[in-house]
Amino acid sequence: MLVLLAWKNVWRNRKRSLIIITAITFGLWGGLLADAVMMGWGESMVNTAIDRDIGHIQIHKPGFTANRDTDMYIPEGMELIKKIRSMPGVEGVSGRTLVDGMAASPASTYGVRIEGIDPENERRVTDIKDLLIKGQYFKTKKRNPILIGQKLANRLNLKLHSKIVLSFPAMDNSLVYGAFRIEGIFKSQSSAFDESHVFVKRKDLLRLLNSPPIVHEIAIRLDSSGLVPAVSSELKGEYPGLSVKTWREIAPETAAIAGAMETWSYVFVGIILMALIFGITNTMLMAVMERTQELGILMAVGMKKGKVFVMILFETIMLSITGGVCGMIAGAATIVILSHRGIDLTAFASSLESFGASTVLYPFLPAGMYIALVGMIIAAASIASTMPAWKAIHLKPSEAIRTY
Amino acid sequence: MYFLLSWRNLWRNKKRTIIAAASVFFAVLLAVVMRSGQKGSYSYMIDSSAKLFTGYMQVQGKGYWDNRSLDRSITLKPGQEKKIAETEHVTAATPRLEAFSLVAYKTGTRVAQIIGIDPSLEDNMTGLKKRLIKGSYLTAGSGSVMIAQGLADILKITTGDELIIYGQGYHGQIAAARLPVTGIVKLPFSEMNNNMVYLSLSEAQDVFSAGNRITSLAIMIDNISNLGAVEKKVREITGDKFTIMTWDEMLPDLVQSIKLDNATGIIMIIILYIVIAFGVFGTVMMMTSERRKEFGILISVGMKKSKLVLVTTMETIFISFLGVVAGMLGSIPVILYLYYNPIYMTGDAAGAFKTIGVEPIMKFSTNPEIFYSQSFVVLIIALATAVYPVLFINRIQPAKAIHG
Repeated sequence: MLVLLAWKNVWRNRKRSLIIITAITFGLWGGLLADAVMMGWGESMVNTAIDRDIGHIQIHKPGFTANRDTDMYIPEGMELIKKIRSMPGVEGVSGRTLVDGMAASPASTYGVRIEGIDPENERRVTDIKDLLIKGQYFKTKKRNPILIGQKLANRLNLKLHSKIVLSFPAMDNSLVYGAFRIEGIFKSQSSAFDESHVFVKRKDLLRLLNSPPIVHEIAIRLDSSGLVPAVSSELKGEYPGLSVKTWREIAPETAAIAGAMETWSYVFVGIILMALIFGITNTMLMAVMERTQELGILMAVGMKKGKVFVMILFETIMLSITGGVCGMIAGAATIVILSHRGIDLTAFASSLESFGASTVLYPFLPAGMYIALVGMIIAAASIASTMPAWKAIHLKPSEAIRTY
Repeated sequence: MYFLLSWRNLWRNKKRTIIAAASVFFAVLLAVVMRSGQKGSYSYMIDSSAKLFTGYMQVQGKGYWDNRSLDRSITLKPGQEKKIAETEHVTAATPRLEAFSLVAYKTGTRVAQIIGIDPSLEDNMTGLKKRLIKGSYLTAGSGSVMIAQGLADILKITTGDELIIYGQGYHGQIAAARLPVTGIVKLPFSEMNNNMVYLSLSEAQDVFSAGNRITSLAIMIDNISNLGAVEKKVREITGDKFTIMTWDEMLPDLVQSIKLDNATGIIMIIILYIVIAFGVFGTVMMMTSERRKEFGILISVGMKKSKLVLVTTMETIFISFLGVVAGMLGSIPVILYLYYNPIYMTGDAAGAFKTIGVEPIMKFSTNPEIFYSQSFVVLIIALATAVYPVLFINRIQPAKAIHG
């Protein structure tokens, strides 16, 4: 009965109801979109690091990351790579032979991490190939090609096809030197990475090290980031003697930023919800004032105050459910469109140097968040309606019916 | 006359005016909080990064930053350094001599970043002393080294052992030394923690045959807004023989990520504006339709619609200004509270921040520009809503309106 009355009230004054429904629709649309933008942004930052060199999961011999000793290679690494490659959900596996050394040119010297890779397999795990701004990705048949970052090239005053001398400790800790020819120059989003990492063919590095085939690091790329927990725990169970780490553990600073983004996204969504609460409260307060006479008459003819209160609450909840559904449809539609087209951030930031795909943001939202946000909006609207409803039942019927 | 009429209209129905002004007030408040949070987190990121190592600016030899050669080192005149340190807004200035070189202990050899520092000045700026985990902190002029914990683990060296440094000094001279390790520091980033060796400045100058030369003078200031002024003063003191690098030139990755993040922030604030606009618009719409009867009577007794439009527009302007001014004043205590009581992050994010040695807090900015710019935008939104009463009055049919 009261529900029906509230429902009829909602549609009796269409304009008023439409205003409130529109406000809620936009509120929910904004909340959903804001959350999706933050999520997409966090994901894109993480992906940049994963795609550049980390991969989803890495395997080392325990202690290697702390010591970085050349003789701390993964036992039977080559066989392990083959086994992991055949696991379900694994897209690519790259075994890397790593040594820390010095890169020297006639101009200067700089400390670098030398990564000996198998070009074909590395390509399936990271996107170094796509980050090349000059030269080619290990196409030459000649000995000792090397890929270096643009920052390092500037620092050492080197150009494409220049010669660079690497020196690093061999297996017996004696220092070895090797001359390499620059075949490609890459530029990633991180200049720290660009100045401190160089890529060479594994077999060239092994020859200089005078070592049998060894790998220090196995980087794994999965079909999707959602598989990381499952695959990493499977690997941990199967190879207890090795250190299996996810990207979160390997790059805590990236995880920190992604975590901060998440906290911020809650703050932002909170702010937008507050804006919505104030918007609805004010609109409903105005609506109650407009209906002063009507509410006064209702109470004068004997409607209980409690019922008036509940009626206004019902009205607001109906309005917010209608607005909530509309907002969810509008929000989901916008997010789906934007997740395909992407938002080009260069449009919002002047002088933003473009570096590949990372300036395009692809908003996305997991299904659970839609439900959570719709719930929050309805709760927010109900909170917003209590004050107007409170005001309404404190009207004096005798005065209210004479108010025009 | 019309001015007075609209002014009286406002106070005739105080409740209505206050509700409308309140919706503008909350809009300003939320926009300011949101933008202040965004801006605050950027300056916090910059400040943390500057404190970690580079400082807000550095005085260097021309071309040093790009090739990091000791040959580009500089000599500051006695007194220049003191003058810089005493410049207004400068909180710390510390001279450094940096070089890459091989370090060895027993059979282990590594490439390390050797850095000669003034121990107490360096501590003033980066808080290096707090990071000491073993042994004692370096003293000025001492002939010992302090080594980063990661590097110490790699070399399996500890306090009391002697570290061998072997590299290239000033103008290609051989730099070789055997120095006792007296302290071990734990640095936040693994790139730093696996690479750094600290010497006293005079010892480093000795080892690298650099006389009294330094590679950089790092300068820390109290607030980023004083950067330009300090840079100018420092330039006056040093003349044009040297380069002055500011944080944005030394930390280009940070600049890029802030720009990208700011682009996302702008999208978020646009979403907030849309939600705010609907809140304010809804209030104004309800306010106008509540006065339907009043408008109808005024028109029937002979008031011209154009005059009525003038009166209501003035009312909207009053309400907008009232709300905006109140919002600006009201947001000051809120922002000050958030500035002194920053939001602490929890969970994964907090842990990740701690691992990189940064306090996991969300800082808010008190930059007055935020108050002005956000108030201005909200004012524009509020003034734009004045269009609705104009349209409403133009369409009103007095004969129908007076019957409510």
